[in-house]
Amino acid sequence: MLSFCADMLLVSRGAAVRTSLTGAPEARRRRFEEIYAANHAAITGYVLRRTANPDDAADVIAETFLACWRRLGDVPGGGDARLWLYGVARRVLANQHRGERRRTALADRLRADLAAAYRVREYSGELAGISAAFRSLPADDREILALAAWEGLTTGQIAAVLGCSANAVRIRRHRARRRFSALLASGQAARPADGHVADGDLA
Amino acid sequence: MNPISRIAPVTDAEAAQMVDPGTLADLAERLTSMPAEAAAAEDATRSLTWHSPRRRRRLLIAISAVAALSVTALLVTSLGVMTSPGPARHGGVRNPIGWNGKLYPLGPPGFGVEKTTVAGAQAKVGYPVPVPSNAAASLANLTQAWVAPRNHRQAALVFDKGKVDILMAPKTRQGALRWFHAFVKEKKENGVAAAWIGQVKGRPALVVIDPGTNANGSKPAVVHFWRNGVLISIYSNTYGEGTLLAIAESMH
Repeated sequence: MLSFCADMLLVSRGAAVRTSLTGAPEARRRRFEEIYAANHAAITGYVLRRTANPDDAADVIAETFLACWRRLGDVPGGGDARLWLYGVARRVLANQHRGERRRTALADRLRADLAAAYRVREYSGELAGISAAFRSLPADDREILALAAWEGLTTGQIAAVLGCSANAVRIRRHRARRRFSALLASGQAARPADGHVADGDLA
Repeated sequence: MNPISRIAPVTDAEAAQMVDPGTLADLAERLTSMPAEAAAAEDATRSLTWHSPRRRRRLLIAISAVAALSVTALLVTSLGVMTSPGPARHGGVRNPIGWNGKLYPLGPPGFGVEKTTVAGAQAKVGYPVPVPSNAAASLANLTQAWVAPRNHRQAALVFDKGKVDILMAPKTRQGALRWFHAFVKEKKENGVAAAWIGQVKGRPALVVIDPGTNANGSKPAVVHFWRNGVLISIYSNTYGEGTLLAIAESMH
């Protein structure tokens, strides 16, 4: 638990807004429920797009919201809460990929639901080529392109999730697109044809 | 269109469909059942920017104690949830809508619930909210309408001051049927002939006929059926499965 807390020290740039919730349990609970209701679908989608293992996905989702509950004072208001959650989920996923797998009892029911409902999407034809090229990219390139294409984030929002400047995002995204286009053009990518971000290092 | 958008393994909407509202409510309940004071104390300790070595040691001890307490609370909560049969659990198979077994006036389970009208409910959940026209339940004796637009777009209609409650939420047909069959199988395995697959408008419906079998005698009879992407559940402590099936047939 302590190492998990230490891992969760990620605070997006400009996102650390402390509130006065620490002394009001009911207000704290209410705020958490609002954040949870507004973001659980987005976080579930984010995680499922990056891991093909429903067990891992369930644990990451549960740990992300556990971090939210425990660090509610750090969670920014409004739409920025989602960016903060993406950042936490990204870090928890990176820990999963490094082999720090946990099976939390919190996620038991979620694990069962996802295992029953989730099917890996397979692609053929042109999409298979796109998927293979995407998977051939370095993990950082994939993440920056995926945040824009899959989560629909702007440059500033991606910067908040990744904890870097907007300018750095522009440069990294430009380079990632160039590498992706080159891979698509060459047709040299030859990885399995599902669209998941591979179990690489997302950190 | 961005080529990477075309290879998204799953959309947010699809991901949301994969998880039962009851599961989400359960997870939220488990998380928030962790002592808020302990979590808040942890927030407070982390907000300090610098600590002397002695103070850091004290903080580490305090954080360890808080973490241990949290783990203990979590374990106790988890054990409680796993061992408690609970009126809404129907013996172990999850209720896909997450009904808490408590009828009117509490309204549907979960959070973000708003009282509204049938038209208001339709506007907020984004799918048609069918209303029965039956002696037991109709617009004439509609008591209340509720929605939880941000909690899996659930809608609930309460008739005749709670004698009939109808709860609905979007759900895939495959998911609904899988649950129907799992529920009946479990009942058969337990030797209880309390559920069967019936029909509503020629389509499969799960009928549960075990009113009053739980500890406090309040377990309602239930009919679950799927229509146009929405799983509809009709509950009653007053009427049996025949009336509930008739109510389901009359829903437009």
